[in-house]
Amino acid sequence: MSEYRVSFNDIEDDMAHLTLHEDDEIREFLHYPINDLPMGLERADLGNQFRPTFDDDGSIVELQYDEELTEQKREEYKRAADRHRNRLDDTE
Amino acid sequence: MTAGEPLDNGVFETYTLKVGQADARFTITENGQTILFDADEDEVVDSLNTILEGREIERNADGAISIDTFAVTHLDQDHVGRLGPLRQNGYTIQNVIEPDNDRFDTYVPGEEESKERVSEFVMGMYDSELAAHDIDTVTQVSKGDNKSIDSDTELRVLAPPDTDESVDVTRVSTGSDVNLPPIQANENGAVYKLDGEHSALFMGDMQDKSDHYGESWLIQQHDKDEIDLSADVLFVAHHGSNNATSEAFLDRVEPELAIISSDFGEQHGHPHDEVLKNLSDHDVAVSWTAGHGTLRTDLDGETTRPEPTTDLGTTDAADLAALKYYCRDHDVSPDRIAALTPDHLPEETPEWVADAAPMLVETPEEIVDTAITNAETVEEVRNTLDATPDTHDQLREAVQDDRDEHVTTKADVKRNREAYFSAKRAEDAYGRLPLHTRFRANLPKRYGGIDHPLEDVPDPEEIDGPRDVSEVPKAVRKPSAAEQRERGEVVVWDLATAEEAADQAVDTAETSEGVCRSLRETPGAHKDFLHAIETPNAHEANKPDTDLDDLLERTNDRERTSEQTTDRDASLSL
Repeated sequence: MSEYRVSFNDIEDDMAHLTLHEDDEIREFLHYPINDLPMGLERADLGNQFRPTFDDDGSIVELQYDEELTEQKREEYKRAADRHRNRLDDTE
Repeated sequence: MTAGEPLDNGVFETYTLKVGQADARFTITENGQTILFDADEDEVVDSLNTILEGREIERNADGAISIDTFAVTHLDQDHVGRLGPLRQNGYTIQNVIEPDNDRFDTYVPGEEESKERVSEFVMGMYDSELAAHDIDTVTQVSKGDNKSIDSDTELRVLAPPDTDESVDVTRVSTGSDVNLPPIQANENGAVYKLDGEHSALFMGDMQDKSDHYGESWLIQQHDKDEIDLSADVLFVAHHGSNNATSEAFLDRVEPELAIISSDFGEQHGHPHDEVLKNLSDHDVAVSWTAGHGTLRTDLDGETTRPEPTTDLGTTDAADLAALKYYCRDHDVSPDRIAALTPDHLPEETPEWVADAAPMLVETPEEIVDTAITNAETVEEVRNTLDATPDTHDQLREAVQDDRDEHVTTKADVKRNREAYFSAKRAEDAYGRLPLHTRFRANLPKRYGGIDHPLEDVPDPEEIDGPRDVSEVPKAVRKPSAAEQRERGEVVVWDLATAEEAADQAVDTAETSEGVCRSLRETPGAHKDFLHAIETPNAHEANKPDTDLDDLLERTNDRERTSEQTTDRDASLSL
């Protein structure tokens, strides 16, 4: 059985963007209008408010925003962004 | 190697993929080189599979199909978001060209505000997914860094500016002095141009926004003869956002065709009215992925006009604006709309749309007649008119009224009988009245008469019409063929005939009156039509694999064989 986790990416143009991971792969991106959320939420807490549900082999699963995964992905992508800049230097 | 039509078939094909609120275009040059402009969403893979199905393709050692060039307009999630599925589904990118990264800043999500810069998250994910491809080169480009695709094809780079400094811009529309600083991603994205018999301009999300005047800079460069913006096909900037595609810009490009890639959700409202109005004013044909689906334009063909992959025929910008408003309001697909009346348009629809849209008709009757004229079956009419429920109801009511007027049904027979016996009972009751009462009932009131008890009762002989149910044809009495199939019953011949007659009526008529006239010719056809106009796929659902004709034919064959055997046996005196 696959393990599903959700990381929080960003808020842009009043849309919150999250990533649904299936094991180590990205399964899909999830987008939520932040205006649909209750007023007065702290921006830092926004990720906590998204509970995507989906059908996993017949059972409905509600996912919890994963703070640890979010932090891990953030670090991972920072390194990848640096790598991309270096890749440009190497291949140009 | 996959067998089929070779990629280098001498045709310069450019596809705009239907990928929702994102961008992806795919080009196959005359010599078979492939270019993918941006890629988001898993639908890119499905679209590429469809395009390349049946083509002769050379695969690399691990069986992957090579995308020779991946041309990035800018590093935004809806443009470079999904390179992983491409690799996982058998595609590999060889060479990448992307906008000069000195032209934009990055930010760390969660730690800084976006301010329209490139997200480190997107850039990192883009690189992680790119790493899985067999990349030979990644090249940053800016104005003038043209890229040779093959011996006949050069991909020209018109933007971003070839400097890492802010550049001065004078806006044509206002004459004001502004600039384009190297910060935001959209306005510093790459703009590409391809030339065949026809030329095409790939705009990405280029625009004027937040003190970043990307489109104005392009106009200025064109006016200084530094670049040539003129193009037959314009891949409209930023999904049709009103931050781009100004009148001044269209004056320079002068496109024949504009292609917009967006969905029609309300979040962004793309394509914006102002852009559609500008395109309408410039008489530019418009194709829109949300309505027309994936589009193919041959840059060396006789015409730039693509064939839609949906039933939506119109390419008029005002029509598309009308469809945008109506379809959002009713949550229906634009390709299902035959025509609309001004009353169908939501209040927020701009006035110019009602004045300019050729698909607008005056009355719902015209929509019904258009649907009937264009359809060959009741199902096609149902599918079209379902999108405008008032017109659907109107046709159904017209056919029902016609049936009530012209078809004798079991209910009519029952009514006739009840009316006859009711009149008969009243007459008998009158006969049983005492003689003096009947006498008084026949006297004028002034001589002491009373109200005559049969005054408001018809004579039984006046009750016209059949009173015996056997006079109603079977096809009218029984449920329609579709309903019988739903119940698993065998469909009798005359009901199948009524079903065919209903489709035939739609096929031959051009108005609802014409349909009604035609339905009158076949018993049961009205009833069949009324069921089919309400029930999706009524005429095709539950049909057995073998139809009655086949069954009869096979039975006849068996009988013929049996007769021949008997004859042969007889001739042999067995």
